[in-house]
Amino acid sequence: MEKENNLDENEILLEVKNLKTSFFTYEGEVKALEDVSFVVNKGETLGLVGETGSGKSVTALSIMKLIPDPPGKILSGEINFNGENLIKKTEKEMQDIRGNQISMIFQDPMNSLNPVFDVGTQIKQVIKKHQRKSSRMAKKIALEMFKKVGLPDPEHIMGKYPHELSGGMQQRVMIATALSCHPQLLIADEPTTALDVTIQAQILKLIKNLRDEMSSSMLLITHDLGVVARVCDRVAVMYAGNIVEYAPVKKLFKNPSHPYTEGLLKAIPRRESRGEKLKIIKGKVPNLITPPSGCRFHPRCEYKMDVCSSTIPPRKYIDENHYVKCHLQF
Amino acid sequence: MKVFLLKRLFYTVLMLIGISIITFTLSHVVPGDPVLTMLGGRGTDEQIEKMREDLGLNKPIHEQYFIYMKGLINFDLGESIRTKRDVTADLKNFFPATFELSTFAIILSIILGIPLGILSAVKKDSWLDQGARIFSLLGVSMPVFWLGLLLMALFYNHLHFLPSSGRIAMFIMPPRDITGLYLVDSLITGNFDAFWSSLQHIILPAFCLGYLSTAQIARMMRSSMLEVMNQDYIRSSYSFGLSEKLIIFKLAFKNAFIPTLTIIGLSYGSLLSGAVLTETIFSWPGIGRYVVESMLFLDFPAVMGVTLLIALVYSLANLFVDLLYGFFDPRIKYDEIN
Amino acid sequence: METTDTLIDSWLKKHESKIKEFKYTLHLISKSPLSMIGAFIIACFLLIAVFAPFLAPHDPYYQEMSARLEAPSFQHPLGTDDMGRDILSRIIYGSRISVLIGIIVVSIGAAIGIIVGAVSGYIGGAGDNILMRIADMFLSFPPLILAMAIAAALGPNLRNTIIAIALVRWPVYARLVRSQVLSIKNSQFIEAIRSMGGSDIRILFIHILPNCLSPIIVRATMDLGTVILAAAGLSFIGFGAQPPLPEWGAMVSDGRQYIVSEWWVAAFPGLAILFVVVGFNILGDGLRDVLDPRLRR
Repeated sequence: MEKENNLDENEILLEVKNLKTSFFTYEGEVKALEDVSFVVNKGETLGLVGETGSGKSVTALSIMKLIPDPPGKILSGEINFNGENLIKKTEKEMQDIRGNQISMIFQDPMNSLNPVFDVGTQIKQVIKKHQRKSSRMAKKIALEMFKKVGLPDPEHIMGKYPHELSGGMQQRVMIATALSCHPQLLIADEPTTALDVTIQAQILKLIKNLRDEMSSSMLLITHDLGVVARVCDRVAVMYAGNIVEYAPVKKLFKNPSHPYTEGLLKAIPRRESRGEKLKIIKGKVPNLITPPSGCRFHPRCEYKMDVCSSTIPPRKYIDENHYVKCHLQF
Repeated sequence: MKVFLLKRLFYTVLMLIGISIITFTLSHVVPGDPVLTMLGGRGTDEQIEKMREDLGLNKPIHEQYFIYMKGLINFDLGESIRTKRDVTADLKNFFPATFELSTFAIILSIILGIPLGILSAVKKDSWLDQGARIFSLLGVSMPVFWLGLLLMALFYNHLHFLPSSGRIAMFIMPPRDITGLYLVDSLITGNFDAFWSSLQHIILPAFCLGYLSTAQIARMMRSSMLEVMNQDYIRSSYSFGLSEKLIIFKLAFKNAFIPTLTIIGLSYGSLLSGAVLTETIFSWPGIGRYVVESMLFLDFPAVMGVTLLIALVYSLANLFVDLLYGFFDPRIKYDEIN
Repeated sequence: METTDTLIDSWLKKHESKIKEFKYTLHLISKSPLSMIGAFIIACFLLIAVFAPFLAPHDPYYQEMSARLEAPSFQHPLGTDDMGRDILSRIIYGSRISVLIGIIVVSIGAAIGIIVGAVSGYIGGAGDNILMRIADMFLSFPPLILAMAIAAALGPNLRNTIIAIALVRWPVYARLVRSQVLSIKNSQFIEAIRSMGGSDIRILFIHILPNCLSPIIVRATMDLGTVILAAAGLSFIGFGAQPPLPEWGAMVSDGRQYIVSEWWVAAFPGLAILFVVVGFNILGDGLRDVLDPRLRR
């Protein structure tokens, strides 16, 4: 309850406004993000959910300005971080922000760590870069971070190479590195997907605890609504490059207003519905080179109307914290 | 590690035996007769018979082979038919020049090829990249002997800039023989005239010889750099705000250098044998020129000596490269190879 | 009519993905200017070789002693050599020798290599080990020296040049094919065919080898350049084609002593070698970029 009260009063940390990103490939322009808007408040966790290919990771990389160019390009929109538009920042200014004020952890820890350097070197160089510390100080901070993320015998781990660590330990190293400079915003892109099921819960809990401890904000990308329910304050549901519904977690679960959200919720196995067949959303994610006209979800929508295939639905605010992009709401 | 080394040395010995069998067989299916060549095509039957006996050429081939191998164990490679000296002595005489030339050439290729490959990858599709790619393309396509002739004509005959042949100017005494490498010996003895002259003499043949490996190294470096720059760990380095300079020249470089290292090892072997052409053109007194002259005389003891020596150096160079891997790639565990 | 249409339709539908893939390959080839230039050079080279008698302005062997070492002129566009022979005509005829050497050597080398590599990879175990050790031995043999030794032993001429270089080149293909066979051998689709009772020979030739085709094509294209270079090098030092054959490497060797004043004698044949080898190399590079699935997108 306490969380929900906070929502309105909080200061805005990150505001993404009408973000549009495309990839220009041989087959044509992949319109990966059409119109993405959301807000992350200080001290809050926003969950970004959607199917594979809905544009979650592109959103994250756009915020970091790490979209590979070519073929990718941020075409329009604003990314305001602490009131400053990141899109206008130079690469040099971004380098001071990345890893320092905004950090990111990735899906696949094995490939996210450089295989030919020991993990100690890898965390130390990030600390040295942003905190202008001597090698000795950097090592001290690194050891503290390793202890914080629950790595046993940090001194020993410092000299290990990534391939000598388990997936869970690798991800802990990544988390330690990402948080070593106490970023205001942590972007976690499916941080547990590549891990063993038994480790997933541990890592998730670790991220949540560290975030609380450092009172950073977090953008958690996941396709698992269960994770969202456990960790997030708010949630943005993505479909085919759009945020179709954006709401506080409890409201979303109680009162899903977009047919796609509804479909996602029905697809979660629940105790009450044991024995029943799970509902699935028919069809598949559309090709983003030639996306469906109007509402991109209309070919799969149960409540399709004529207007859906002709007009892009505008944002409809149900209340201040909750918007939906669906013609049903008008 | 020990197991690995022993295994590799064992294979090297096996390979040398194989190579000696091939060369030995070749030397005995020769339709041309070395004895006739030595006697200048003349000579009575008795003379020829006597010579055959002296050279041990009348025994069955496998016996001859075992005699040869027995000698080999004592570093006795037999006597050269052409120079009438011990092949071992000849090799000792000529090998340092080849070793100096090819080592200088590989160092030159590494110094040129690696930065070229990195810049080419980093500035992909820029004019610099296009230029570097054309330079490399010409390098892998160039007839070395032709390039050598042109360079010689240009730098020696037209620009009067660099000497055309030999290891050192005629009027300068070669440095005292310590390692046999003029550049090194002249530095050790502080003989700077000799050093400068040797340097002038080595630069053209070394560039000519090393152009191919420069090109190969640059191409490999470019493509592996491009591949590494697309890896997740490079993206995560960017996401931590590390500078582009650090990412390219340290974090990506160390990964991209590993496949290039293989090319360097292989290149060194091809340099040794490519020296045959370069040494012929630049009158470089090394084993390349020695082996060509020996071939013309069907002097197979000398040819075998050179072949075995080059094969040995080649495998040692590759063993060295394999050991270097361990330094660059922590994932390598020697005892699991093969 | 209707049935043929539906037949075509169903065929198109069935092979839709393959057709799309093929179209994409063609698109990539045409989009890559480098491979187009390479293909153009090679096409010119082959046409010149085939139509040499019609293209050459003079008899390549005709010695005109009064016209020795003449500079390029209208009469002799690339000048004449020390025997008064027309260099352009000799280069044009020389292309036949290079084509011949290139194609025969690569065919022999690839044939031996493919068989050894396929067998080696497929049987595995001790047989594989022995075959690969033999290949290694040939690989670590200094190639030019082995070729020289063979040429010296058997006598320096065109045929022995071909034998010598082929003996040096086959291990490259053997290694390539073996590694491909190894990676395909254990794939699921081969497993499936085997479980349905496909015989070893059939699996090897019908299912595995065609899948190794594109790397072999790329390798062979680049190798053609390497082989032509090696042959020219052998001729240059006198262990290859013998005079008066208009072999390019031998021609460079002929012009060696005149390089300072009558530079054209050595310069043009060498340029011809460079051009053709560049052609094969860029064509090979282009094909690799197009055919390598890792580089496709």
